[in-house]
Amino acid sequence: MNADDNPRRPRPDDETVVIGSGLGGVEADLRSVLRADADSIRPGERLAAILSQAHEGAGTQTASRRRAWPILAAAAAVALLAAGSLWVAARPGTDAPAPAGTTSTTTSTAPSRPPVSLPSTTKAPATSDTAPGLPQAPPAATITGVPVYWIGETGGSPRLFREFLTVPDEGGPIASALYAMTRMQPLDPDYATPWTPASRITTTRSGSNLTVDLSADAVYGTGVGSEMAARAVQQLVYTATAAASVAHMSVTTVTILVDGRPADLWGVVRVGTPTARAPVSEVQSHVWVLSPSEGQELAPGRLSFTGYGTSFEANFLWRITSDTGALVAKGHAMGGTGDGGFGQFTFDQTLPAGQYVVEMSTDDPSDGASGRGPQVDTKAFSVR
Amino acid sequence: MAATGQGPVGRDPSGAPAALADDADLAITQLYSAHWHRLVRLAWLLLHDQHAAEDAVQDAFVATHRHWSSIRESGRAVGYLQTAVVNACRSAQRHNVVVDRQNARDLGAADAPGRHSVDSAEAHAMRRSQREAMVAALRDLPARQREVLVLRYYGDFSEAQIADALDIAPGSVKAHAHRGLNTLRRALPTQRLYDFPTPEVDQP
Repeated sequence: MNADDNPRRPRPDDETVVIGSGLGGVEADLRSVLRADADSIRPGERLAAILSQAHEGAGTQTASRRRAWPILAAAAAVALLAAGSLWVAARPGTDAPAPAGTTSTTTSTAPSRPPVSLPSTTKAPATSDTAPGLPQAPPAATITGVPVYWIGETGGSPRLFREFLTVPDEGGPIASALYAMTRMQPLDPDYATPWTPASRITTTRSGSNLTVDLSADAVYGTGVGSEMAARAVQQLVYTATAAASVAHMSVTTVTILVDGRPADLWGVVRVGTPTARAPVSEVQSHVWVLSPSEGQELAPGRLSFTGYGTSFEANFLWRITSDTGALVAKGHAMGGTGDGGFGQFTFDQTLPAGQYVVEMSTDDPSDGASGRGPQVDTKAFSVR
Repeated sequence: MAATGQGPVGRDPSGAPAALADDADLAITQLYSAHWHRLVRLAWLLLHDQHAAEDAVQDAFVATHRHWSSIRESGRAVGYLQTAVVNACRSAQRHNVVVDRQNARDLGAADAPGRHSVDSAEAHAMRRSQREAMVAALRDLPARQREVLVLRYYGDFSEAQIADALDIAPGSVKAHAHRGLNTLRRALPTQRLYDFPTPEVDQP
């Protein structure tokens, strides 16, 4: 306990104080801020873990704690159990059908479940692999708003682009994002990924380092060059750390293992030691289209477009073309710091119904003479 | 909502122990469905690390399970849980389970663009940043002041319950709360974030 707790030296302002006297405004703000901050998280379910840990006996508490977080169980199962019934569902086994939307050749040893469209951010019940006899939840869950990074070729080199996806829940944002990175395809056809569908990904957190252990099928094949392979490592590091921040976890470095060991990915890049995010200007595209998203449908009228990046003198160029390739509108917008700092930029444009492509690019004052050219991101969208 | 006295954590239902089962598994399940989410959110407010928060509350539940027969006798199950959660949070902080908070903030910020780009109006962004400023100011308070403020203004604990949960004198609760609120007020000279009537203070 704090030294100043008890006994406490009297202070002149203590006696007459009623909590909140003269501080009603701060109190009210604090209440609403605490409430909003508390509501910003989505607690994982751990009933099964609590019961199993409690039955493991005293003294093993720390050692036995499952660090594979979070164990998700169904609220429904909790309610059922509370009512006195014990409901047990079989865990999806290795011969569960591969989920729709993932590559069908995947023979998954991880819990596989079909994606189900849910209207809201979260999800129903996922499973936990705890002791037999404890409540298990039915398979059916997706998570929305999961950040996944992809690689696109722009300005003469492979660079990172990010999408927020709705993905099958594989046990929290990190595992789900990483599975999606290897198993799913980007929404934007301009992006790609050198990873191939992983049958197993396990994540273990130790302090601020996250170890990601991949099955070898995630790095299948050859023909991935050293520049692309190095970028793919950062793709995984960016995805894992972004997903961790979504889960409110402090992860700053990622150690990649293949089948539990350090490895040479695609034979060209060594992994196995803690790796931090490389500087954003080195690996990330200098321009992203934030909105609209690929394939989005917008209502006719005055539309707002948003991009993000860094550009010479903070100047970004944009063009909107119709599906026939005809130029509909173009202009420029200011964003970022102009000296390497990333920032958002926006512009408005009124458009009638139709199919369009918006292209946003960095300003290249050398007009290509620098040899690399501007960096570009495009999104197809429709107005109807 | 804030002034109703029905706090997120709720008061120890001192008259209710009879409703909790003799069987530890069943009792823990009942306590879990009633209090897990609220206690994790409470621990989150103290630690700002969700994983560490869930661990802390899990430990509290496990401890409650292991001592269930004596806790049930005492009729203070919820009070025991709450105290155990606060202690587990203190312990997590001491042992640096909660690491690199600034780094986590930076990463969060690095990934912020675009998350709300579609629906964020300017006023919303403004409100968000003020909220973040208060959350940051709260994080910078001494641990004991933060605990008192979180228990009081999120948990709606009474002064006596806070004193009990933190094992400090009731007079210290007032002092910590007052100092904390004053620091927050000084840190945030801006106008009120939200406009609703001042709640009654010190409601039992």
